[in-house]
Amino acid sequence: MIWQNAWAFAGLVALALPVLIHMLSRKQAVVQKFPTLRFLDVSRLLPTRSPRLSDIPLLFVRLGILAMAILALAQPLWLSAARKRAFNSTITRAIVLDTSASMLRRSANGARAIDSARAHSAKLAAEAQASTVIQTASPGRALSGAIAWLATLDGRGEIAILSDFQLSSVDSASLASIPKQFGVHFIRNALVADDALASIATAASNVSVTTDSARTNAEWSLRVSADSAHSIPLFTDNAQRRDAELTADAALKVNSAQRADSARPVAIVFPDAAERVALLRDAKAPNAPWMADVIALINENELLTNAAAAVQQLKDTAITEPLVVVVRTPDGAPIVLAAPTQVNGKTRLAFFTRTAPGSFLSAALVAAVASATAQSSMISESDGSVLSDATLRYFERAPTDVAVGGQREASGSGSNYSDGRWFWALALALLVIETLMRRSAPRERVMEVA
Amino acid sequence: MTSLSPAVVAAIDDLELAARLVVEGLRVGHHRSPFRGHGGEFTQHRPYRAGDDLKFLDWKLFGRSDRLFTRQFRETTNVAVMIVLDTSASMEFPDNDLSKFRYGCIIAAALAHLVSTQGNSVGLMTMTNDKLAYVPSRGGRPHLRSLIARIDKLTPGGEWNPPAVIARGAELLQRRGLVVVISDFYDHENETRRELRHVVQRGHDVAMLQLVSDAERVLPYKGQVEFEDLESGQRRLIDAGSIRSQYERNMRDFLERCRTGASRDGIDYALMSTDTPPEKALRDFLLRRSLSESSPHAFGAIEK
Repeated sequence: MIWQNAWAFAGLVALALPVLIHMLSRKQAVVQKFPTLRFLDVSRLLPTRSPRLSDIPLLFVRLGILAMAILALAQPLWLSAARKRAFNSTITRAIVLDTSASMLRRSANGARAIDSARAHSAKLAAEAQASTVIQTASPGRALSGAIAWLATLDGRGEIAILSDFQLSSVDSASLASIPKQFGVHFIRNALVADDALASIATAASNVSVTTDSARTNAEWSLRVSADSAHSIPLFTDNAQRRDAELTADAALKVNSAQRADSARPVAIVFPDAAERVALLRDAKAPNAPWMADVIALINENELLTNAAAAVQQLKDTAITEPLVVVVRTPDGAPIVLAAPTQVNGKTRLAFFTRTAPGSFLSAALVAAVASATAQSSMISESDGSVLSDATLRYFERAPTDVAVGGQREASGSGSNYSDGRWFWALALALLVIETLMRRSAPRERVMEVA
Repeated sequence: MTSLSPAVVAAIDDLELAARLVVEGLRVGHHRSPFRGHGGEFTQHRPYRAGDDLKFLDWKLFGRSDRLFTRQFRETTNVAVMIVLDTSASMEFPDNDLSKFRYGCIIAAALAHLVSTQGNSVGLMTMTNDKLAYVPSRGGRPHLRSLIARIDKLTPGGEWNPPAVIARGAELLQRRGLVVVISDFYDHENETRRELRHVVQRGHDVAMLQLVSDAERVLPYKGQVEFEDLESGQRRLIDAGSIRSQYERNMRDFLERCRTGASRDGIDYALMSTDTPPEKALRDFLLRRSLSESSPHAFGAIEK
């Protein structure tokens, strides 16, 4: 049972009133005519006020009336299973779906965490009266948008967050900013059972790199959105410039909504690029968490995986350390490798592809890199630390029935609904009893004979 | 023999009928007059009391014993009885049952009936509206009827002055007789006792019939009760439960004072409860009186 108007319990102080009245009031004494008062001891005369409670049964009835009224005003609601279902259907739900790299990892059953989260979010959305799904790599930042969306609607608002709840996913400040009337529901997706990043690092030790300096290169900037000037340099031969532009155009169509993160500088180096040898020479092992994130995201990119399956011809077969194999062909040959290197004095994570700029895989690689470097948390997605269940429980709460607009949403009917009517009925019955007791009082005041 | 219950007696509006029923229940037999007086056949000696006529002193006995005795004789003439009835407001209790006043009226009427049918004379002295009301002591059936009618018309109220009423009643008796005072004796306790003593000293035989109700003896109330004095109208708010034992003790002491005072002064005393059938109360009184050799018998023989 829930109390929709718990403030009504403050009225319990009113219970003191009948007690005081019954304590301070004195029952009207019965007048009895008597032959003589000479034998009545004067010292035993009654005091003018008696501290004792009078009419205790009547007092209890009056207390009962007040208590029932207060309980009714508190608007109780018994939540049966059927009523819970109906009640949940009145929820307006903003679903924040964590799409960060860590959610791409697979769980013990082989399914990706993001896939099970999406299925769960679809179920939650179907149960709600109105819902929206906000897919974001940073759930904490998306909460303000979810709150703003809920505030535009009436009904019982709830924010459902589906994530693996890495330490960086949400923070207490974001959760505390959620208005009290909105419920908060956390759905944790299963932790990743195998670490894809670890497997990538293991694979990197099996490849080698060769250089070809007989080529010139052309640097081409990929503008992924109108307000972002961040560029991803594409190193290729001048003769393949047209192919590179087509590749970039294709990638732009795939990732039109993505916004690049300037804190994640990357570059793509095609096989015929003049700087390829120099870049390979300066290549080092990945040494920043974000690099691992980006590599993992690209590794999980379905488009790129499909493109790799269609590759027929490879260049630069000899690849050496410290490059990390990002994508392999179905027969196991490395096709995209990555390593941080110096580009014009700035360290970038360079992706060395073994396909020509005009190939399908090249376009998929540009799109995947653009997607992987989109704005997201700088905290490593590979970090296995997660928020504890206890922490989440602290912030978790059910939605109240009062929406931002002040309208009260009811279970099922949409009107002001509570089970308080039963308490009103009890109060009414007690009132009848009280009236009868009060009316019978004069008869009681007829002289009582021992 | 069954007695008429107080409720039945109270339901009889006709006081004469009620009195006759009470008296008939006593089964008065025909017999010679048991009244002992100073004229007629000698019956006994009794110790001399101040006020006794010196002509009845037995000087021979004084010569033999050096003690004064008065000679008593069987009365050969009718005895005069004066009934003094309390009509004060305190007699109007209990108000929801047979009141002491009604009970006293029935007793007075029954006594008058009894005395009159024995050939004796009976009168009434009371006080209504602060004035003495007097019916002279006479015999005969017409007088009895008028006397009972007069009793029937009495209404209780206000206060009364028992010493004055008793003194006047005894004074208006033509000769020495019997003064029967029917009252609760709440008023002027000491003065009343003193006056009764005077009446005895004047040679009259005196009987105190004290009427009480059970409610007066046990105070059967509980809770907060505001008692209102029936005579003065004064009120007192009292927790009846807490005062009951003290009240009962006071009441017992008062009744005991009345009884011992009467005994000391040579007065016949009977305590009559309104919860006792009048017939039974009257029979007990008359039986006790008939067993007392010193009391003049104006009421005839009583069946035990």
